[in-house]
Amino acid sequence: MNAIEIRNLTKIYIKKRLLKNKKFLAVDNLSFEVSKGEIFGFLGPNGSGKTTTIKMLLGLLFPTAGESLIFGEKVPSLSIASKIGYLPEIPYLYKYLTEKEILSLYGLISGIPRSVLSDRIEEVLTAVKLKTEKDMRLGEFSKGMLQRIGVAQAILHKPELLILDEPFTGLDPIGLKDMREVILKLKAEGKTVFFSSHIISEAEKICSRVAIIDKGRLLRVVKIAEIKPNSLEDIFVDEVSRAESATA
Amino acid sequence: MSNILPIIRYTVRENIRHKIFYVLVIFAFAMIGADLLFGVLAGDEQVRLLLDMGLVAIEIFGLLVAIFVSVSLILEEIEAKTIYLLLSRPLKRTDYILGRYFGMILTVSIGVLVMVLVHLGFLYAIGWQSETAYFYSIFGILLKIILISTVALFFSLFSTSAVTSIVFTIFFWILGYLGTELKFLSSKIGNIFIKAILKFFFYIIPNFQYLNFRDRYENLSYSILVPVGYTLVYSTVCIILCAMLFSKKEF
Repeated sequence: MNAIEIRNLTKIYIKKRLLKNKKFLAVDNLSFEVSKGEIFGFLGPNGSGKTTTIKMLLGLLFPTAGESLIFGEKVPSLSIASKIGYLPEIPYLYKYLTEKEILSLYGLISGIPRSVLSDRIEEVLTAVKLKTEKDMRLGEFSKGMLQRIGVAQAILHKPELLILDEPFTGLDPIGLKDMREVILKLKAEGKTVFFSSHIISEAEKICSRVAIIDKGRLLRVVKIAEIKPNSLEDIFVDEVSRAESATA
Repeated sequence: MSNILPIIRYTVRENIRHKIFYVLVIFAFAMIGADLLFGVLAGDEQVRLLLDMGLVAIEIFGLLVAIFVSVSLILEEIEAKTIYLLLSRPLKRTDYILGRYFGMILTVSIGVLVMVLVHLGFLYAIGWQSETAYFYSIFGILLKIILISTVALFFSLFSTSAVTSIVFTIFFWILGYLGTELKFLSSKIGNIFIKAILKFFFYIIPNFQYLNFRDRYENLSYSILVPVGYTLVYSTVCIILCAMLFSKKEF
């Protein structure tokens, strides 16, 4: 069974105007699979439909056509949602809550029993090196600290699949290294990691496969083991330029 | 269902720590303080004036806090995108709406309770004798808050703008006091179209006249069953509509 199966997924946004509605094709007949236990990179330029696809996987958006399955079950599904850890591009967190309060909230909603929740929060806060700040309100946190809380909430309920939206964007070199380590550790624990990015070098370092998309269409799925080292960026640029010139 | 409680808890925490909430409660205190001043000027009528003006202040500020908090309840979460991390978890959208709604009612009730305590403090200080009617009036205010909050929540799910939702809610709030007038007008107007519009509004607006316990302060011989039943039915229907709208919402 695949961790993710996307079948002919299409999303058309309809912007309501007074006279005529405006349509925008964000994801166009997208199909690919992500195997269990692999790190899969979802690469594409800005506005290529990566976040839209992720939101459809999470049930935040509904597809216009097609479907996606996670661990064989059609999404959106509550039972599947408990197996997913999601890290948005910018950690959208409540600035009036402390890190302990926010993790308790997410933990309880994710079905972690109260009896083990406190210990689990301590565990993840240690893992993301934030233990000392647990009673500070998130409004007082720096960007890097918020990113760490973002990671903490994503791994809190020990999900089998992690969906990370642009996890490397805006990180300093140490942050990048930490994030890379977190992802590799998750893979070592047998988790599946699916992440979107336009930072090709990072994807090449850690992924087993990547999908390249542009304008919502799948251009190519690349197995990193089958390409020359450091050639992913050239492949990405070639594919995207070819697709751009074909549609121009 | 077990997910509703954590949502209620964070909604109350978040709202109580929100600056807007403090500002409105402080305004309410200022208003009650001003009543006290008027009361002193009124001489013998001091108790009556402080009682009436205080109740009006509690009602107006309670309703204003309710409208502002309800309208921003979901809209703010959508704008700040904090909703992503909740709805991507095993949380039913209905549970989310119910948790947010009850959390908001609880927050506003806490605000009203604080105002009532301050008001009672002033009243007792000038020699007021406790009356059951006072507590009935406060109960009526709470019922109105429940009604207007549900209406505000409903409008906030319709539109993407907080201002539009607030305007619509205040429009309903004002109409809510004019239920009988609307019915009277509709019976007098010949034009079938206008008659139908007036009738329509009469049935869909929350009828605050059922809940105006304050107006019947001197006469306690009425049942609270009808007002409570009315509030329950009206807000349940509204919440069901909210849940239906929210289930189709994309983020």
